[in-house]
Amino acid sequence: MQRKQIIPTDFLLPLVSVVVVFIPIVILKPRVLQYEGLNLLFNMAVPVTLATIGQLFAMTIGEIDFSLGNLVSLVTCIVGTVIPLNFSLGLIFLAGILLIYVLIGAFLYLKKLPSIIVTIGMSFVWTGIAVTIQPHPGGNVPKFVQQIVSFRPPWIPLPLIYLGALAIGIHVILNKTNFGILVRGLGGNQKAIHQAGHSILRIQMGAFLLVGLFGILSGAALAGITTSADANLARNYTLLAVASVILGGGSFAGGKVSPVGAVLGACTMTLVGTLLTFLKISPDWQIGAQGLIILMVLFVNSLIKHPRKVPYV
Amino acid sequence: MSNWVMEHKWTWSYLGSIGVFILISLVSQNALATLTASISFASFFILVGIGQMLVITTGPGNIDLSIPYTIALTGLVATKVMNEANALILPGMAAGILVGALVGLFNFALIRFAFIPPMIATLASSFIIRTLSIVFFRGLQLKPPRDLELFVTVRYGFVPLMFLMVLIVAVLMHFILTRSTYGRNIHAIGQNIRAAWLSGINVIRHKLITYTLCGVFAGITGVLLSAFSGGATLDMGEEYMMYSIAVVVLGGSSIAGGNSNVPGIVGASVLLYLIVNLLNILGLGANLRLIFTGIVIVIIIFASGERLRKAAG
Amino acid sequence: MNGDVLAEVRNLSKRFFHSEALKNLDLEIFKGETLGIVGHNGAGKSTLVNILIGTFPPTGGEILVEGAHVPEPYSVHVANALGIRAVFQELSLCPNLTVIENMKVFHPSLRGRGWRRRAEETIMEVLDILFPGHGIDPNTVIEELPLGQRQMVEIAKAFTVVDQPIKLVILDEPTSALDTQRTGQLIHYLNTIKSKEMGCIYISHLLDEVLACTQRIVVLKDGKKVGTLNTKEANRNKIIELMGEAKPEIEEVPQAGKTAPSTNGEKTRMTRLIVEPLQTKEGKVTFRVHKGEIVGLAGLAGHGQTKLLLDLFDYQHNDEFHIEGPVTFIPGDRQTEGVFPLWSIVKNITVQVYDKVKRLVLIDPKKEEKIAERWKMGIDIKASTLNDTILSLSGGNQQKVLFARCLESSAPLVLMDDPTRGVDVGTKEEIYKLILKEKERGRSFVWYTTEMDELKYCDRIYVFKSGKIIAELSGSDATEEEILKSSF
Repeated sequence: MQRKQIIPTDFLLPLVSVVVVFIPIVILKPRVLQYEGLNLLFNMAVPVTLATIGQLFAMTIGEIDFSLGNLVSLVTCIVGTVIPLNFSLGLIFLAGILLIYVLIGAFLYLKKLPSIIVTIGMSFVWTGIAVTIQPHPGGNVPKFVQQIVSFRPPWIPLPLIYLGALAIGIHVILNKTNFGILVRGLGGNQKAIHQAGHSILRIQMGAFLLVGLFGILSGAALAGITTSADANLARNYTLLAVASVILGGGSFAGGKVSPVGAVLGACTMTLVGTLLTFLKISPDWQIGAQGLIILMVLFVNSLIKHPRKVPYV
Repeated sequence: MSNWVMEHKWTWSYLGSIGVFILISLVSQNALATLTASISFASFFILVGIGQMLVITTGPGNIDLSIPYTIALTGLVATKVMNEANALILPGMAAGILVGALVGLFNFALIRFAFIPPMIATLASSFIIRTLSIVFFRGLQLKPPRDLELFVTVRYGFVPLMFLMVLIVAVLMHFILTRSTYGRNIHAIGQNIRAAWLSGINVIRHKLITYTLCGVFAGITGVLLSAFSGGATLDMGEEYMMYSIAVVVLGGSSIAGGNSNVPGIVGASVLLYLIVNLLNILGLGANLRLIFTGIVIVIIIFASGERLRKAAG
Repeated sequence: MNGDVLAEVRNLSKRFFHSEALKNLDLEIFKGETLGIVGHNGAGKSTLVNILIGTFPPTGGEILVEGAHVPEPYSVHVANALGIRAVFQELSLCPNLTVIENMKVFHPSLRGRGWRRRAEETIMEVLDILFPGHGIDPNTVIEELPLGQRQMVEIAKAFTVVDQPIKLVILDEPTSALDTQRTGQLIHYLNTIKSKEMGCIYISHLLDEVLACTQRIVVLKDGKKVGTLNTKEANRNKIIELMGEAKPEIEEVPQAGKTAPSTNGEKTRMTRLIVEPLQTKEGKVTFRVHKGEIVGLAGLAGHGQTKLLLDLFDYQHNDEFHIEGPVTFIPGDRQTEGVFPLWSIVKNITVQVYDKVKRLVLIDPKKEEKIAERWKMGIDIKASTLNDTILSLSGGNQQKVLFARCLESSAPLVLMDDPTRGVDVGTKEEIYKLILKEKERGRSFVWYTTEMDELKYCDRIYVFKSGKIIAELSGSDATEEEILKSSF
């Protein structure tokens, strides 16, 4: 079988994409190159990136979390409404969410369930709980949460620090830790991992714990930035996260993922939205444009990676 | 006797409906009116459920997540074309159904030619459909033509005419699925796609027809729903994503594909809407409907012990 | 107890549903020796290896390592812990991880500080010894390595020692992806450098290799050991002779009529071509099928026969062949390619003939049942009722259903992909009768089989080796000896 030599720098494509989107933005609004501008520009990329990393862990083992966007929205409601009223209750909620994710990870393996339908089912549950907590957008996001996402370190804007830390941190986790190597190995050849005596159950539970964790972090960041608790705020995040992972070099089949690429991919997706705004494209068209761009990203990715010739789909 | 019930899993949804109806008559003033309203709404569940079931039957990983926005778009298109004129009812319906078919074709093209997994492709295309609805039909104030409105609300005793017509469609689909070449072939594809190909079945053509049909059913739903609700709105299809999957799962079709169950869809639709109604009467809001339906989906999947290979594209 | 025996199996049997892959096998391997195991298709080689490495348990018999029974439950992980390793043709590495990371997966004890360095040292040491000048960078991701280097890593991995010593390494067709130089290095290692404490089992269809690097050679056939040779006294012919030892239970079957290959210009109705190649290649054997012929595809399993069948099946999308009329395909792997598991027996039969069972526009279940009944009687499908799910049938009867399905269609050309795999003897006889009957009615067959005995029903045979047809045999030429000689 002919093997195409994969470009050694897997994050070349997403890096180019970020630059390609960034340049028109700079042309349109040269002010972005200053501290304030960069700060604003990359602010919204932080929650998207956190969600992307959550989805990354799911996709590494060949699964997908279809409830991610709904989870993120739910967390904004917990952070914005429950925590201000009762801090411990809010924490219990969040812990409960993590527990549910761990259980989902366990049962997907034990009972060989399809992650699509199970997570679609969970998406309704998350949204239902979110609407119960916060029937209309509003909320009272605590000051300390806002501060975590808005303080101003000298020289480098905070979002860029966070993004850089995430890229490096997740890269280290996936490439240097036992868990990270096993998680990627699980996505690459489940049988090999099993035959070497590792516990697939534990790896799977750990992966899903991280999916839930990063979903929670994303929701907290989003709440801090928008100071809003809204059950429908992050609905698009599910698809955005998937597209970012793929753009960053990931694959639906699992195994191959690039954290740095995924972070760059998330930045690209966020910047695309900003660019569309700067181009005065009305918000009405923006959703459609996002969908179209996601489709193109996935299409191009398929062409490059899997030139398939199967006589049936 | 209980063996027969297990064999014919769909019967319990009918039994369940009777049970829930009894509960309703205990708490409601006018149980029959509730029943009429329920089976009217259940008609819509049946239509989208059939469409979703067709797609799911073609095999693991196949699902149509663009149904809710297709319903909105087709409803809007049909309303606009009909322009409140009785004479334009048929052209309006044709337009709505045609748009639905085009959406289905588009989805299939994404899956087949852009190699994008169905769950992602249909979700991304829903973004585009959403935008089309917003851009072309925002602020549409038109009402449905009077005759159409009459058609969808007229009833014989407590049985709405629309429900009867939908039942006829359901019976037709049942025969198509069990006794036509197309029906047998998609079941073959869903059970074992390679064996189906080796048996000489044109897999691609069958999937194309199926996705298009799903769009058509969404289109019919959009047209009728907009007439039923007194006009089309952008989010009229919101809840139908959840319900289309729930009635498929609840109705006993296999989510791994290869096994459809139209009687089950009918029973599950009635049951589900009766429960929705019961929850409404008891004062529990939309949020609880969401949570409830989500949990039901997850529980049914656990309980049915579906084994599914990873269908990640 | 001979202290030199490293591992042995006693009275080992393995039964898969209706076929016995191994029958009361006794085998020993001594410390320090390289034992060759050879045999034709279905000899039981891969079953034996899988049992030794713990993939699945035997149906009967014992496995001993250094005189002690292996622990229960036996598994690959346990086997590895005992010091038994195996290298198969399929990838056991994680393709998305680097060489070093794969070492970590394989040796869980490689953790903590400095594990990368230790892993790198371990694998590089083995690679340098086994394949000097290999040029492999241990930080490369496996799927980026060319096939040959990937195979080298697979083999080397089996010889790596981190904590437990290696007792036995099993190599199953290890050189399929290696070039001559690397093959030579492996053989050199096995002959000279390999430790005297370690045993090695070497399985290969390349008899010259087996002769070059082993001390003893065991020949298996149909699940039994038919002979053991000392390599010093062995040669190709002796091995092939042993492989061809006739089974005592073969009954005489009516020989199929032999069709002479048609000469140019002489095209009577009897010898009309139903499969015709569109491009004839100079000096190469061309594949063709005459009407009413049974053409056999022989040679070692997996050497290109199935690919030809699939090309023939998909003839409308490639320009390899001109074929008259529709084609139907009987698969050998019923689970993945044949059976529709949720359907009844009836529905599994009628899937290719809906036009025949329609009344007006809808399918008439009564007509379907009649067809199914006819086949049930005709080929004796043992089922209580035909509306039962197909999974209620035994494997052999399921295969009969697949035959019914394909032969009910009107396709004049029938392709068969080792269709009697895992089917009991009685059912096989019924299937052979069925094939011959259909041939009388003018149907043509292309029959890939891994069982030598079945080839005697064929009018002509093409022998495959390494993906190509290397011989065409017909008439009296098609003896087992000839076929074996060409296959190896």
